[in-house]
Parts: sequence; C-alpha cells; structure tokens
Amino acid sequence: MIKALVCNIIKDFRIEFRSKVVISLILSFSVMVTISIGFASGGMIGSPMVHAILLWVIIFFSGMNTAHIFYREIEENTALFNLMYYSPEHIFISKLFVHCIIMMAVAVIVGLLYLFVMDVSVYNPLSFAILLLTGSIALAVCTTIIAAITAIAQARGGLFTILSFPITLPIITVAIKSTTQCFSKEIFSSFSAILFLLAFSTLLGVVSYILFPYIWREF
Amino acid sequence: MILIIVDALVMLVSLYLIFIWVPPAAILGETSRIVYLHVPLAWVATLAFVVAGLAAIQYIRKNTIASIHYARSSVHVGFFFSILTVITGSLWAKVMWGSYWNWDPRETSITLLLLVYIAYFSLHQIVRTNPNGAMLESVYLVIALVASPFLIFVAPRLYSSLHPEPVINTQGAILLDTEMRMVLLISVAAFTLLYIILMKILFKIHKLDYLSNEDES
Repeated sequence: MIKALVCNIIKDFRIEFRSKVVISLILSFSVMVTISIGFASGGMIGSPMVHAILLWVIIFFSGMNTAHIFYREIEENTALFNLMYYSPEHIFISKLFVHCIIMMAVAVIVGLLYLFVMDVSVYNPLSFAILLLTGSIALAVCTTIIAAITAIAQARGGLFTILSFPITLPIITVAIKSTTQCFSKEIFSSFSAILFLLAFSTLLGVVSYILFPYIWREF
Repeated sequence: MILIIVDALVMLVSLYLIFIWVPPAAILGETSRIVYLHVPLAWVATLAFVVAGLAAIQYIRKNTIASIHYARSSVHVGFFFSILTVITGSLWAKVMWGSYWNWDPRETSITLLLLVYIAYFSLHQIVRTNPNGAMLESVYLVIALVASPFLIFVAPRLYSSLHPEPVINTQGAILLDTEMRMVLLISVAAFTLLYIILMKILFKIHKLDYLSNEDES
C-alpha cells in the first residue's frame, strides 16, 4: 500500500514538473499580483491588517490554480487508467500530498516576496512561519475535494473559487487576524489560531478521504 | 392539512404571547421581543442545514433518490430562514448597537453559512443535467455540514463579540426566566412545524421536477 502510494506521489510530481502548468501559473500569478500591489501602492500601505489581508488573498487566489492537478486527469482521460492501478484512496492521498507541498511552496514564495516588495517588518517570525505553513496546509486540505468535485462537474475556473471561498473563509479569517498580530508590535499567542487551523484541516481531510471514492468511482 | 392547521394555531398563540402576553426584558425593553423570532429562525436555519447534510450522507450511502430531494428541499428552506435570521438580527443590531451591520464574529459566521449555500446553488445549477450531479451535490453538502460548526461555534469564540451569550450556551443552560423561556419554546415549536410543512411542499416540487426531467430524457 505504502509503495503504491509513494509511486503515485512520485508520478504526480513528475507529471507536474514535466508539464510545469501549475507551477508556472502559480508563480506568474503570485509574482505579478504582489509586484502590482507594490507598484500601485508605492510601498505606502501602513496598516498591519491591510498587509495581512493582501498577503492571504494573494496566497488564496494563487492556490486556486492548483485545481489543475485534477483537471489534468479528466482532460487527458487518465482517471480510469489510474483507477486500474491505484485505489481512489491512494489517488486522493497522493493528490492531497502534492497539493499540500505546492501550497506550502506558494505560501513561502508569496510570503517572502511580499515582505521584500512591501518592506513589511515581522515582529514574531516563528509564529508567522508556522501560520504560513499551517494556513497553506489547511487551504490545500479543504480545496482538494472541491477541486475533485469541479473537475468531475467539468466546470473550470469560476466554480472552484465559488465553492472554495466560503469553506476556506474561516481559515483565511483566522490566518489574517493572527498574521496582523505578527506584523504589529503587540505580544500575543498564536496557539489558538494554529490549533484551529490544524483541527479544521484534520477534520475536513478525514471527511474528504472518506467521501472521495464515492465521486471518483462514480465518474 | 392537519399539520398546517395545527401550525397556524401554534403560530397565532405564539404571536399573541410574543407581542401581548410576555413582559419586555429588563434593560433591553420592547426591542427584546424580536428574540422570540430571531432565535427560532436561527434554530430552524441550523436544523435545515443539518438535515440537508444528513440526507446527503443517506444519499451517498444508499443512493436513494428521495434522500437528495430531502437534502435539496432542506437547503432551500434553510437558506430562506438564514436570510430571515440575518434580517431580524440586523434590525435588532440597529436598535441595540446603532448600526445594521457591525462585522461582529457571529454576524459574519451566519453570512459565511449563507455563502456556503449560495455556492451550493451554483453547483446545483451546473450539475443538474450531469448524471453524477446528485453525488457531487451530496459530497459538497457533507463538506458544508462538517465546516459549519467551525463557522457557527468555533470561529466566533476565538474573537471578542458584541453579540450576547447565545440562549443555548456552553454551559448548556437557557439563560431566560420561566415566562420568556416558555414563549421562546412555543415559538421554536411553531417555526419547526413550519419547517416541516415547507419541507413537505418542496419535496413534492423537487420530486416532480426530477420526474419531468426523467420523462424528457
């Protein structure tokens, strides 16, 4: 089982790095939006909350491009072929793993780029780093099953954002509030926010794992 | 028909008790009467979304078409009651806090819940002709059911709120005196019966819609 899972994960990463569709989409989107905000504002945004909102909005919309990992299976008609070799559970875990890694990379790249372009000071770097990672994992976990739904519904683009936004809004809200505190000088504990993000993503991850075979087999 | 007559009677009694019989709450005054409408509406909205989620689980497990009709009907009723909850809450907020909308965590959470189900309606419209559409809708409703407690109960408690302690709170106690509690419970019963009636009507509509689509195809 582990071997099949690892093979599937390696296969997904190989396809992704060969095609570079998701990576190029995400990188170009995040870099362009961050630099555009920097140009438009001239680096004059002062409020930590505005910085936190912009940062998480960029991360969220950059992450919306990762749904391609499921669209690819449908477009290239490889979904049925995959089912012959891997169980739906294996497919889900490998997609989730790839999605989490891509989202974490997105969060780190966007986070660093944003801090550099907008010249934002981080007063609690450890909490900020943990928030970026847990927030991006939570976003990836919640949107993986939504990406599968939209891929099977053969409705690209808009529907994925519409379905994902309300479900992920608690994550974004909690992440924004805690990131605001990281950007301001006040002393705070991000423990409850991180716990919330982990609990939310764990629960949705487990439920998505249980539900995924029903939609993937039906397809 | 009997259910409609019973509910009409309970609703009339409830309205009499709310606007004439029960005394106004201390400090809050006459405006407190809106609580007997706001809380039952919020209760029915929550109940409707839970029922929709449970019916969706039933559809996923058994693949019975009646379950998805129940889920769809319940979402529609829940959405309608959520809007009424937001309206009554905003009216009360205007009187008590001076503004219809205050971005209070609890106001935000009910709006998030509305957004979840607005998104569901978009999905429903897109997949209604898809042979796997009902399964996709069901999976989304279960995801929404799992996410909802975080929206309603957890996220608002992470931050300070203007909203009073909920009537049914973390201690599991109803913080109302006997008369107010009785009126509230009667009002909850009246609105719950209304929910059942609306569910029955919408179930028939969804069933007819499904049968007519079957005939066309």
